[in-house]
Amino acid sequence: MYGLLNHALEGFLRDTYGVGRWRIIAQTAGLAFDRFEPLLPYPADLTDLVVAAASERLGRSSETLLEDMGTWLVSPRSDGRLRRLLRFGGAHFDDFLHSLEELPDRARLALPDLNLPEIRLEEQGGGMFRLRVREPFAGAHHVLMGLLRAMADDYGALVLIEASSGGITLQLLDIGHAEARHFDLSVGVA
Amino acid sequence: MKLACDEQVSVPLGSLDRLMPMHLHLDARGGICGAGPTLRRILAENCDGSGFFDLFRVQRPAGVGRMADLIARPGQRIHLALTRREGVTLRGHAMPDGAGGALINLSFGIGIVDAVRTHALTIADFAPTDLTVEMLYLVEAKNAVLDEFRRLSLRLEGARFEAEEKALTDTLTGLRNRRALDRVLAMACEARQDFALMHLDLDKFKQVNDTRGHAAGDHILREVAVSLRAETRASDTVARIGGDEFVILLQGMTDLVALAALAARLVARLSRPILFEGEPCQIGASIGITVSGAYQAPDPAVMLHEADEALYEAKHAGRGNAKFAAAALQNEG
Repeated sequence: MYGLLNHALEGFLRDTYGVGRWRIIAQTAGLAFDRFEPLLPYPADLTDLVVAAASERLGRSSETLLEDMGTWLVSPRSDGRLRRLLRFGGAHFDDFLHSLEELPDRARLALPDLNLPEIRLEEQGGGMFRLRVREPFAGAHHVLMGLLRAMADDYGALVLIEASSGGITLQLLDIGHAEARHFDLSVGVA
Repeated sequence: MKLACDEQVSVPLGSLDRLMPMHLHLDARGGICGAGPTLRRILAENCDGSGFFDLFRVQRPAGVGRMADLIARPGQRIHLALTRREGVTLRGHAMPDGAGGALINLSFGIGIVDAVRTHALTIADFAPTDLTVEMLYLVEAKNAVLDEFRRLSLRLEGARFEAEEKALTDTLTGLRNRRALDRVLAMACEARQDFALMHLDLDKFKQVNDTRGHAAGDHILREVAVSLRAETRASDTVARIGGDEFVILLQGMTDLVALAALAARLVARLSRPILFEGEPCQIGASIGITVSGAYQAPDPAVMLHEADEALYEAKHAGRGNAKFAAAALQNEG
């Protein structure tokens, strides 16, 4: 598994809680280093260890932390690249939701051996959606929840998002609730 | 019963606009009678009624300058440029519209990135069948991955450099070590560079080490290192190759008089007492020297050996001396 996810987790913890606390978390998790390389492979269980160490050191549940991380990933505080790549999914939030199923294939276009978790979207009518994720690590769907909340804001959509057994329930209340953040197709290709 | 749409399809203009947002409809005389919304944005002027060949130049195939030329090439790939605007190229094909005119469907082709930027196009400007947006996504994702790899290489290069530096450095004095000297010396011999080799050995070091302790010995070695670096140039290699043995490789320096002067300076400087914990420690130095020009084919082992023999001779002649290897003197004639 690429360090991409661990690198993102590290970025979120560093940025939100400071370098000092990140180092303590890394130590608690038993890491012999304090920097994940996004494109080098790491053992799969490291993510769980870091999440558990962060939860212990910061006194916050891992669910909350992971959800905050999802929000942070597409917020202007991170480098904004993921937000841009996700916005290519569609002009409106519902297009974007449907594009989530393509996410692993899109990721593979960029990095052939990057295996993102499969996401299944069930449209249940009346603006109700159910998302199922095959989790690459415990609690991964909380990251997705945070990310969906932030992307809904980005698209200017009003949604209700809740964890449900084995996935996420999403209710799309108003697709044009607020003005969407500007998305210029060509900004990132300079 | 035969279905009507088998031969001819009639679609509302709005549907055509959505299906092919970059289409052009030409009448039999080559006048523009319709255009898709995305193409209109690019043209940025009202094109209805304008002549197709006034607004567009057919770059490929050559010789298409009239409506008849276009009609004669149904389905053939055509490349277009705008006549009134630089840098916009389009490609597509023209098919008869069944009424003597032509329907042309266009796309940006490989110049898409610039086109999207110039015309501030959005996802909604492209038909869902058009993979343009995916292409932009791919370009951006590829750039992100490349940037990440570039940063990774830089970090790895930094780490490699650091590791190599460590592997070539004598930890006590910060001078180069034996491995580093072997490498530089081999390269200098291989490249037939002009250089001199000085083998320097401290006098009475063992005595100081035994009477004043290892801490004093280490202090002296570090002070000697400072002196050796001060008396040589950055391009020279100063290495500690054993307990109190040093080798200096002096690039481009083969003049025996200058070398003798440098050796004398080193001997004088190293015979000054070095203070340790307020008490002076008296050492000295002896030096053996050889030069690359003394050999037909300079060989690292031979040169080190002969510099070492000259050092032995210097020590024999009374400490605090510098001697040249026999070969170096012979050559000088």
